[in-house]
Amino acid sequence: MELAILFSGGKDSSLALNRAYDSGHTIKCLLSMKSKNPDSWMFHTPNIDFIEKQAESMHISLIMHETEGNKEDELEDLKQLIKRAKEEYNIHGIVTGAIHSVYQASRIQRICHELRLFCFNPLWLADQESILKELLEKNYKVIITKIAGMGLDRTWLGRVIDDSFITDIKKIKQKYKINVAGEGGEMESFVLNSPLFNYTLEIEDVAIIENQDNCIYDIKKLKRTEK
Amino acid sequence: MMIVIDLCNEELHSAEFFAPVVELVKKHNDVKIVHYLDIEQEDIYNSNGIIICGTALKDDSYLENLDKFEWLLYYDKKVLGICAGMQIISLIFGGSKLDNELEIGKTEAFFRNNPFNLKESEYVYVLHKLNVSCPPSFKVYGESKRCIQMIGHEKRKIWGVMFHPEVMNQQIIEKFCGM
Repeated sequence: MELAILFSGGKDSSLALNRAYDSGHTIKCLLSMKSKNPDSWMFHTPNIDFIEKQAESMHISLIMHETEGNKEDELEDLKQLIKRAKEEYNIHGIVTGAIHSVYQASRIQRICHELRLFCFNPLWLADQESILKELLEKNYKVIITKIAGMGLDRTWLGRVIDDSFITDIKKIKQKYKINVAGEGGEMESFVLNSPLFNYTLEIEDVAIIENQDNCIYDIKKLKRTEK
Repeated sequence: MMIVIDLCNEELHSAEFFAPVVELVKKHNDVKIVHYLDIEQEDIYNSNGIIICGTALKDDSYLENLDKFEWLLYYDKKVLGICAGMQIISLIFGGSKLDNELEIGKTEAFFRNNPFNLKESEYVYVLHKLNVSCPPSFKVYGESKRCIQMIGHEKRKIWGVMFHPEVMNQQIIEKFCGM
């Protein structure tokens, strides 16, 4: 089936893309929403401009659509984006990286139904620690780009998800009851390498932005290196 | 051994509608997983219960293969049908398809004297476009404003829920495993 991936550049949508590819589907394009609202209910915001570099490394087309990020308007914007993908790429379905958000999943299900598209959520209800371990098994390189949870300070920014990360985040979970994969918005991530990348991305320049209730690892420049 | 039946036409959908139920059942029972097109009589006879999982909104291929579920008529162990699974139970036992009434997301449902100890009012997660009637020999245990949400056989241990208990109200699956 020809599919488009709702892609944020983070680990969940990347893993969903990976699962769709491994199941034999054809990935026609990535779809990203660039929200002007940093607290968007639907769309992740840090480093959205660098998704283009990920798409280039995977040799997959990218359609980026900008939204003001108002709670319900952004859903109409998302619908227009998906509609465009259907018209331009003749896709038959959408894949998302939703894990447990009934809010996100049900709204995307409704849009897909209205546009007569299949909706796939291959990570739905998956164990969050298993997701982290699957990233390691598949040799992903993923860094943390935003933290907004109890027990997470700026030292977590830029950390690569590896065995020691999993050990440490489980300790934070025990103390503060956070989701270890950040499904509750505790953290955001950015993928620098995956099995679908033809070359790896490396960070050349970055700035730390400290806000009142979150910290962002703001990528300024990426370079490509051979795998 | 509990059989959990996968209705999905696409493998990628199985991860969403089937695997989460399997994971919940595994906590309480040995599980045999099987796709509905591959069910064998031997599997059915050797099981102590069967769960028929749901599938995607656009996937209704199971409706063209209802003959694969005729074993429901004589199976004497417990059965739980989830969403499409409840539709199958209804249609096999003489119920009918009702006008399509799309339900997506979290919705309030109202229950009475149900075997899963749900409160009179509970929020449930729904994802379906086809409704079914309550078939003969079954009674209605729960409804939302739009459709029947739970049915059960009057004498046998066969239940159907239109919502997805693997998403919200997981205790239904736990309680079913312990019945």
